[in-house]
Amino acid sequence: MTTNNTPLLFKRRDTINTVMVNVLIAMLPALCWSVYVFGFRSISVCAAATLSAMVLHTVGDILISRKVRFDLSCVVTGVLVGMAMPVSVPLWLPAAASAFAVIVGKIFFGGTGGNLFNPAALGICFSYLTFGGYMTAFTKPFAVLPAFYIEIPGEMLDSARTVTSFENLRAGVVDPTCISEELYGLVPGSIGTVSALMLFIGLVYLLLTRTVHFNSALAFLLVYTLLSLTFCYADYEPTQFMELQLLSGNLMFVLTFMLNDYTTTPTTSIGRLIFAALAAGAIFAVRAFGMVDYCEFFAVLVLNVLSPIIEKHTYPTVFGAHVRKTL
Amino acid sequence: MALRSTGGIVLPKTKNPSKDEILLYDCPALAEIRLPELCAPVVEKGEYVRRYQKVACGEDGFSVYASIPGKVTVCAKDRIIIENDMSQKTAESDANKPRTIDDINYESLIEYSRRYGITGAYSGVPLYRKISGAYGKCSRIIINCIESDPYSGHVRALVCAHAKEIVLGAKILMIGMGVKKCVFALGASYSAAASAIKEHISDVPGMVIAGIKEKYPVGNEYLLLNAVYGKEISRSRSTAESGYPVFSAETVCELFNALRSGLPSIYKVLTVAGKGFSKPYAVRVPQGCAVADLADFIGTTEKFDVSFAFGGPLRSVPVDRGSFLERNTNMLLAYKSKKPSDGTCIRCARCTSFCPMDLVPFLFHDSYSVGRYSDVVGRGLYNCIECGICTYVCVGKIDLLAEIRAQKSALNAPEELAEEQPETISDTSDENAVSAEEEKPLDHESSAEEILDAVADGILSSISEDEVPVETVEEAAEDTVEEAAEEHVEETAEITALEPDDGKIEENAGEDIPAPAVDTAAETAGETDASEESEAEKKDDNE
Ligand code: SF4
Ligand code: SF4
Repeated sequence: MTTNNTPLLFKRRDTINTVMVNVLIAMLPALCWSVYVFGFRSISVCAAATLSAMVLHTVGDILISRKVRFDLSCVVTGVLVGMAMPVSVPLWLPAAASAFAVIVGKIFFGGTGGNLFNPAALGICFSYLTFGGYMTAFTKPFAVLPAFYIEIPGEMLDSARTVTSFENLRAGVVDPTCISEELYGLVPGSIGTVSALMLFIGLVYLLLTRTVHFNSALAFLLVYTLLSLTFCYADYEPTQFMELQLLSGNLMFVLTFMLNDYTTTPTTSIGRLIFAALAAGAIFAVRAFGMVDYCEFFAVLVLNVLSPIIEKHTYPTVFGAHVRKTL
Repeated sequence: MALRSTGGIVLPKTKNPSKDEILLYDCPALAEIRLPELCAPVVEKGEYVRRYQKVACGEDGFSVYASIPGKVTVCAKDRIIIENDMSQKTAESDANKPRTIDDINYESLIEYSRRYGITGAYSGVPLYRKISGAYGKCSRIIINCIESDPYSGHVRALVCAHAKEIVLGAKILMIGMGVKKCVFALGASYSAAASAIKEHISDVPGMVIAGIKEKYPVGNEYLLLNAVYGKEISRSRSTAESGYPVFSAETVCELFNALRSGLPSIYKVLTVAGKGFSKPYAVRVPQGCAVADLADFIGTTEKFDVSFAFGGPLRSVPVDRGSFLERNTNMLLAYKSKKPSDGTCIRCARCTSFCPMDLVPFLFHDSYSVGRYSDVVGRGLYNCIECGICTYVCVGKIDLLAEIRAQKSALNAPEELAEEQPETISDTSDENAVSAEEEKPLDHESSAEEILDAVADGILSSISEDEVPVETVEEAAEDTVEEAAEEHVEETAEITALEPDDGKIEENAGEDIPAPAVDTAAETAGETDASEESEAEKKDDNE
């Protein structure tokens, strides 16, 4: 069947690549901050992940569709995988994780736009489950590691190693002084997720460029705030607990880059609200009961499965509320 | 505050010919007269016809006329092609044309609009069908003076130049259809057109101007009514049958001119635009004018190979250079064709959020790629008004509109035979429309829906004269909506003649507009609330 293509005389405003460039720009503050806190090794980790994602995406596309449809979405996936890792990981781990992310998360589902799961979240969960030791070796801020060592030598790692506030939270250790440090990101943690403030700047950029929708981000923050104020399970003042919950771990990272992903979240505005509220509940629950690192990413994967179901039930009613059956 | 419709998109401002004169191009070498269904030619191949000569007549009395003088070279069941001999020979005007406004009533209006071959400027269907479909069901008419597309400017140019004809044509329609109210829908920024209309409506009671926020595609009847009345008219029937007949300014102008001169309607006003022309022009051409002739008259660029298309820049249909304008062609585009791009959907939902019909266009893309077209009929494939916004906003560069059109035509082509048999599938009849709506409970039902059901059940013989829409218009009156003294309709026993300074139609005092067939007792009390709700919903929608 041949289509008579519509001669569009207006220039389109956005293409997939402008959207992806916006997302990459939103990552810049967090990335720059990570260079300041962790040194240039954070760049090498992200670069390893990105390169592997780009190569595999191109190869996979050629194998599947016999033509190259390169777009920047694989770069986004790669950088996200790199950002979610501790700076101390051996450089082959981010490469392997984003390879898994692209092959299983994207190519298996037919390339860009077809995926059910968020590829980056898949890659992180994969590497956490297989190489959990590397993935939980968090280092002190400003303990600068060599940028080009494939693996960090054991004694160097041990001297830099520390516990995260998230682990403190799990152990019930009360340390309210760290809230501002969590906000700025002067704490141990993954490369791109330490600074809640920088991630928030990225989120605001995405909102202002209309790349992502206000309503879902607001719904998520609102529901999460209410939940953590109501069910304060550690020995904190509820407000301090709420602040620590919002600022620690990967929560801001997941909110900015994964709960706003186009492909793996519902497309309808009501669906997005439901999804955001469910996501807040799910992340709060896995944090309360599971208390493992990277639990937010597991919650994202579960929600990705629900997304098509939510979407199906929230398609808008057609204008005039009458579906025509004939011309 | 201008009246807004739901959905749609505000497009960047474009050059348009609204301030220019309408060019007249009278002598194309070829013209193709398309014959509507049930119309048979009354001339033969090789016969010589004069301009304004009748060339075809339908069973229903609808007549079609030659738009240029010359020899008939093709005479087929659905079209007649005439080769111009440049002689300017015209047929005489009709001797039985209406003399005074007394001659206008429902029957004669139908008869005249059939006899003079008047068709809707946007729909291309004979005008009398709309009049008869709405007669007795409506208490107001709407004159659509809105440009339907970017670059288009011929409607404004026409309104500025022929405001008087348009107002008087609307008056004829009001008298013929027995309604007391007429709303001129203009874009909020059409100041010149608004003042031209304003000048003439002051002496006709019951006419108001509504300023509409210019969003694409507010020229669509359903969206226009949504903007003016805040209602979602069900797509189960036409707007005319729902009691809101919308006539385009050009149709009304043609109607008046035909009635006054006794000459049938054979011209079409349109905008030509696109990179292939030096600038957009508004032109008046004979019906069925050849594209190549018109393009040569305007002059296309030499810089690249020009392709042509009919319709607005977002929704045009490509045509050959050798094709002919149709009755409802309102734009001719000349552009540089590009290779179609191969798109990928990333589910960004831009198409969904901008679709004025609240459809989910990427589902149409999914069904198109897997070839299961009938799956999406339940998702409103036939509700699509083919505005092309989805193609415009798609970040994946998918030509959604082309895919929708392809699916529609693929679904309709083989079913033409089977169409008559399953009566239950067709929802054109009232009973089936109601049952179809019962099957699928409505989430937000509009008040129009209730009234329509009531009409279908025979409770109401007509839509009542509801106060709400009038208020909606009045509320926005501050700067953009001009309100005429509609409450004086009854008191004004005197109506000025059609054309006081034209000797052919005499001054005629003491004429009463026939009382509209309106059942005021059946006015529904709940309607005010329902309409307000839909206003509130509209605001929510504009996220
Ligand atoms: S689906 Fe149809 S009505 Fe909706 S935006 Fe696309 S062309 Fe317009
Ligand atoms: S706008 Fe294009 S890419 Fe976005 S959801 Fe619609 S079809 Fe897909």
